[in-house]
Amino acid sequence: MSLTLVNKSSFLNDWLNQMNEKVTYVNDKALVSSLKYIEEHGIPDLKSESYKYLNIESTIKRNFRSLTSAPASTVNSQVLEQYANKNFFTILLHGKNILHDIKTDTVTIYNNPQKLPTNLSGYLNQSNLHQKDFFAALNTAYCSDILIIHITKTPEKPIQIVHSFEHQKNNFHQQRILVVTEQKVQATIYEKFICNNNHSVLSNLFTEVHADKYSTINWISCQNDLSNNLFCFNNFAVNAQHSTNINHHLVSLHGNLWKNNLHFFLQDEQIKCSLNGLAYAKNQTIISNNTSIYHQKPNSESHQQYKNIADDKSTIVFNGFILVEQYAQKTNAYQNSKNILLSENASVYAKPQLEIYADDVKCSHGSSTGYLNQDALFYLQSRGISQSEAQKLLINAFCNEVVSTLNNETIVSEIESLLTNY
Amino acid sequence: MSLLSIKNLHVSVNGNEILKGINLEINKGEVHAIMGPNGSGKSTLSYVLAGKEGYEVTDGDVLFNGNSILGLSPDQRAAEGIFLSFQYPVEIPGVSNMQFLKAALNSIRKYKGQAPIDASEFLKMIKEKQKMLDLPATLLTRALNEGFSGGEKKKNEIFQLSVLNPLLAILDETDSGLDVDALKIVSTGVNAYKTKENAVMVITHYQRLLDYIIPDFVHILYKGKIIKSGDKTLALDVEKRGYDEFKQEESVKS
Repeated sequence: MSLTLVNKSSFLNDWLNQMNEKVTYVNDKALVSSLKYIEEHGIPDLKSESYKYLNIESTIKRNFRSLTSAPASTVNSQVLEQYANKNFFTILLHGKNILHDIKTDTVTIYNNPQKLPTNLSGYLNQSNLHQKDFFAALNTAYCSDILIIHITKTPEKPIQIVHSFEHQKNNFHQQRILVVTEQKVQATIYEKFICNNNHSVLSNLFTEVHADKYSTINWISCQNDLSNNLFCFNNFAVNAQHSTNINHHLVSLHGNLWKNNLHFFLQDEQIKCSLNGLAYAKNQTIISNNTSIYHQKPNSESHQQYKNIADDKSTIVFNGFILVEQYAQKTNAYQNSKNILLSENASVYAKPQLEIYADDVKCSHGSSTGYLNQDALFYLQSRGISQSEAQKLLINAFCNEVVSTLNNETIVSEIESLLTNY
Repeated sequence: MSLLSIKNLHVSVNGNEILKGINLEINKGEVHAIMGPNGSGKSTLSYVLAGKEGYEVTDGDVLFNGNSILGLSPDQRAAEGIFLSFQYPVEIPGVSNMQFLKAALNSIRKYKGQAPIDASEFLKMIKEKQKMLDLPATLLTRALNEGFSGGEKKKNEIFQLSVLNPLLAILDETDSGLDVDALKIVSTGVNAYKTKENAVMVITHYQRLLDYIIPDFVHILYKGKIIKSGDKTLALDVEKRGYDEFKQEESVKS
């Protein structure tokens, strides 16, 4: 299927023209509506609510002479060992290669687009993001690579998904992921990104998670690209069923651009959904997080805690949207964002947005932005602790409120060491 | 040579002159009490000595062990041996009391060119001081001052004093918000700290504290100046007759 855009930027036309792979796993209806969305909306500009502070087209033009997603060379299967860790099952997404070390009957991996079980691929596009977001639509219409993780029983170990863009010549990557958990499963998925490139890389990732009844999903996304060359657009959606526990952690540090759109559809009752985010931006990094929680049925709860620290000339955006539908009575929805500015040239934009159509709910939101507490700094200094050390102590304490909510030791120590060396 | 020598100190905050020429000498082994009505500049004096930002020294000097400290940052002053017990200790969530104290102690040791303290030695010292001040052990592992009662905060200040063992302890209204029992414990802590090699500056409104921490000198601070100095009986005079008499004397003089 191809698309000729009328009245759209020649840049977008050129970009789309070089994406000539066939998407075989998405049904025609979704394909058509994705293409329609792209045609009608084009690349989001500053007028678009969720991309308000990002001038995407000019950012891409400035950093990429052209975007190429030419097929990458096959990597040796031994590459997996570099990323593997005995504490995890590891899935390595390396260019267009998918390698993993999963040998268990609790988890099954499907990555051949021609051979996907239809009962699983039916869960694709349930979030409808391809009709709401340019990058989700782009992924749906043009991404030929799919990974399905089917978790039938509680896995023996957490699953680590490594997105590696190392040693790749092409600079544009798309990946589609679907995670399906069966009833009562408890799974931890730890996602990380490795770029280490000397050229800019654009990644467009679209993940959907179907959490079946009584399942628990702990999702940890650790976004840290030391090379500062990665521009990552990450659309993430969870469809949560009855009595599920969804715990999402998002830690964003180094990188050029991290754009996260997180959607949580609480489709049934008795769901507990907790979101914890830590964004700590330095240099000129842009971290922009949009969260959307959709309370669609009664008696569920959502908690959001986002902590942001902006240093140097960085920018952090947090938009937290909560929708409580008319029939979602007895909903508890809480949201809080705390923001610290460490430099006069850094910016934080935090905006809560609540739409409540039910009348018997408890909802709250709070947001505060400021510099580090000067009284606390003076207190620590007055005991002999240098200003920089005191600042570190206070920042660590601030970050720790997010890190301490993680319940896996290996992951905690990995993230703590990232923060210590940050 | 005095341990602390304040010479003609003038200090302004946001353009308002708060201290208008303070002169004070404190020698090792001495306890000085600073009394005075509200707004006389007592807390300003303590903040200036500790090096808080926003307090502008417009004239005069402060010498500690013979060297001016006005160019030093608060942490350098602490490492030189100046300790301020806060009137309102700051609550710092997420930083544990122990972690903080160890960081402070090791920072000071580093400044002095000493190696970091041995972990078991540190624990031993902590235990000993904690017992003396009747400080619940749970307060040590909790976040610094967070959710502490008024009395616990003040005890924690004196606990820090006894661990850091500075040359000069400035106690800014340490007695405020304390009941009699806590007052006794805090005073015991201060007296245990006191030796011939260090000095204490007690800032207080009330004579009560001075029953337990007995001063060698009492100074009355009024409108940014020390208007009268004397021995411990001066504090009793203040308690009996209030500040009005001293204020009147001062206005007659000027």
